[in-house]
Amino acid sequence: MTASADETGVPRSCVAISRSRRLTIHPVARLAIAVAPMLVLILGLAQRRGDAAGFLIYDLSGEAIGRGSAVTASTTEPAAVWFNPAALAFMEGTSASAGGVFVSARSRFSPAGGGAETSSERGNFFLPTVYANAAVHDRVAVGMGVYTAFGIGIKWPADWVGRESAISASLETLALNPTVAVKLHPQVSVAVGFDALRGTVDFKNGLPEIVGGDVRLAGGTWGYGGNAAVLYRAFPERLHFALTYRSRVKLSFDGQADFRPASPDLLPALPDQSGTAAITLPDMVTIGVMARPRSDLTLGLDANLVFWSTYDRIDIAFESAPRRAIIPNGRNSFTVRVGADWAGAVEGLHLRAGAILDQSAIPSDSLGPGLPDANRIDATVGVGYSTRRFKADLGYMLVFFLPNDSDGGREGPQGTYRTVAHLLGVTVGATWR
Amino acid sequence: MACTPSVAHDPVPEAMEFDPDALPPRVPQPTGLVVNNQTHRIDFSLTGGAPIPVDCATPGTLSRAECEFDQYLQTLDGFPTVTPAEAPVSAALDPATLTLGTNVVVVAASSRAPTDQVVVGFDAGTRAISIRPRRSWSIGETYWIGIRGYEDGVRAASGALVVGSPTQFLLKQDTPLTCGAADPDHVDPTCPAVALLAQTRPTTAARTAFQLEAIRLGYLAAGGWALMEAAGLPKQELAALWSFPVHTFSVPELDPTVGLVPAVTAPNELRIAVQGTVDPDTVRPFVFGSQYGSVVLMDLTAAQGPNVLEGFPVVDTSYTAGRIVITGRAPFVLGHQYGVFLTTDIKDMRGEALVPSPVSVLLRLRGTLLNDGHSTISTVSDGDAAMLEVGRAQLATLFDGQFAPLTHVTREQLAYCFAFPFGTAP
Repeated sequence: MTASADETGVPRSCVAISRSRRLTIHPVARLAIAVAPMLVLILGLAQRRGDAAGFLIYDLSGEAIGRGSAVTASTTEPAAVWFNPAALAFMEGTSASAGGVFVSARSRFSPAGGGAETSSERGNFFLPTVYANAAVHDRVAVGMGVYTAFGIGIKWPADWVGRESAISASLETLALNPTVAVKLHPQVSVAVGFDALRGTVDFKNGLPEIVGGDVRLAGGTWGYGGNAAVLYRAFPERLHFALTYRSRVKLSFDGQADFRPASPDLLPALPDQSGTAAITLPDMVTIGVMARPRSDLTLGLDANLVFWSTYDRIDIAFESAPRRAIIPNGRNSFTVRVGADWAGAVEGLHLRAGAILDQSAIPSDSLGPGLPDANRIDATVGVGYSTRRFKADLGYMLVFFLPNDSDGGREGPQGTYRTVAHLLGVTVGATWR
Repeated sequence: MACTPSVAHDPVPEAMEFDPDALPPRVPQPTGLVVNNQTHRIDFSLTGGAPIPVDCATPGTLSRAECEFDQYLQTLDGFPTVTPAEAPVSAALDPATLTLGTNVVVVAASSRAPTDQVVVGFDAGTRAISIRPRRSWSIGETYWIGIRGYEDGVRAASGALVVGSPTQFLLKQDTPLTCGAADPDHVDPTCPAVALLAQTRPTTAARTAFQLEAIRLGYLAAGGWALMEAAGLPKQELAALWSFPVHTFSVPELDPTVGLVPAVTAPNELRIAVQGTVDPDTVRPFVFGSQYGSVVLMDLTAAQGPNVLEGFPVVDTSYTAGRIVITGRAPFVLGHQYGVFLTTDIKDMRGEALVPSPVSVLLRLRGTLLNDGHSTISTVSDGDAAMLEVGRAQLATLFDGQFAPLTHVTREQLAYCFAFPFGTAP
């Protein structure tokens, strides 16, 4: 087949096929076609986690990252499935996007009272995202998202001072989120959605000093939740208000524990065995405002309230080994986001910037190396380019964790954690109207 | 992503057991841990056992026989010379790996030298390595027994590795288990060993740590690890190490399973081996109607006749070359059942009374050794109990009858007690 390119750079033969389908395929079916191969792609990827407040990864599109993810009241991309599905009701045609967020993070720990600093391994993770939406009626739209919104990924040296609390910690999730949005009024839409969340954990802790060696715990499970959203376009495309809610999701893990004590004398007492543990991911409420003082300038202000109090205690029960309790004592935390999108330079080009203040979800007296949380200050920049059909966005976020003292000693050594993370989000999408 | 991570599931090795909480306890035995350092006597309450009742006739948790037998053991300052040693294991072992001197090492503390005068085997009934002296342990000696485990040591019949117990692991520690605390009430709960013990016994962790620390220090003070190292069994390869003292008292040994029985050296002569010294002046024959002696020989067959006097043949006694010699004025009657009794009036050269050997004690017990076909004493097998119960019951009839009135010897005064048909192998 000989292919030539049109002005969009897409081979003409592909355009012909797409046009043909646009005429014959129902929007919902098209949505499924768009999502299915991407889902296969995602399920085949080895993902790792980055970080945001607690272990929430809120910034799940290239465009949103550039705007500090202050997009709840203004999003018009398929990622609205995550940020505010009620916005889908005002989006025309069928859209799909794919991309991901590359996360690079490193934590350092300085023990209280002095001593050598310990650095975690630099964690480099890629979190793929796939979104699609379709208007199925003048007032009704459906959407589907596949993404990772919660995760932990950190690895410390095997012999470090906090080894009994964590040598490595990994929580991976993958959410499948179908949603339906209904336009109740030319200015108001609502949405409800369902979250099916696959989670896996993989933790390695040092066994007590006298025992030596380590234990690895790993398991997987499914959890389920829901979400709802409302968008009020007080002055359409000039001033919007939004409110979203995502429910908690309980992940009850069944897994296996691989005990590897340094002395074989303890192997009969600590045989490899099954275990259970449960983590409840938090509810989240977001309110957002979008203001467009000029046609080329969009401003956003969002606030998240994340109910991390659900992450208060993790009881790990084994078949025969002593039970273990992790008590992070999570507390509800606020995040404030501001962002701007300026499209005045060149047609189709968007320049973006944002900032985030993010409150730590873990109090200092229960801070541990598996999740060295802290208050954070984030700065973001981004750029995007869009045509009538295609859209590509790139966003960068610097996440600076303020130094946080661990002063309880229960969940980890006493000392100070310092973390810096970088997020780079890339999203490409297309719209069929 | 989304797939449950693969986690290794390693095979569990078998282990030398040390579980004092099991019923019966699964610990290496005998053990010097039950010898009271103050009283210098065996004291079963030291390891958490209930005190032995003074009156065994009163029903209690122990059978009457077990009570009486434990009372006997608690009169000793060490274990009987014929006590078999055993080390329980979590699985049957490959007998070919129970190599004496290599995987099973027995060292006499006084000579610091390994001994090969033992027989090593595996007792499937008790699931334990058994170490029996070829004849008897030496009185006053302390024996250390080490079992080599891990890669180069004993193996389970399945081929699995055999490792040590968690208790053994703690005893191997090079640093104090109590972090220097003066007593259990002041121990730091974060002290590593205490914290480890608290995982399974939160309320008694501190006390247990102190008990184990005392044992650990005892091992170091006695040089147990060093003795094994010198015998070619280094600490890191020891899956089990324990020691036990043998009592210091002279004992007329009796154990038919290893040939420790009265020797017939002439038609009218019996010799009874005694380990330890004997004051010859205390060896005196019982002469019916004229002398209450420390050596009583009875013709049990004749005693059943009309003339009880015929049940007490006239004998002379002496002590020669480690043996008490009983010489009849007339030849003993072939086929007659004879009873040989030595009393605690026989003293060693320190003036201490002879102590009975366990078989003598079992034969003189008031309580039955067998109940519904099972031994009433935890350390005596059902088979041994069945065999001994026949003799015990016969002797009980004698002891409960005219024996004491005639001889002025009570069963509690017996240091030796055995009956056999003369002229046939006992």
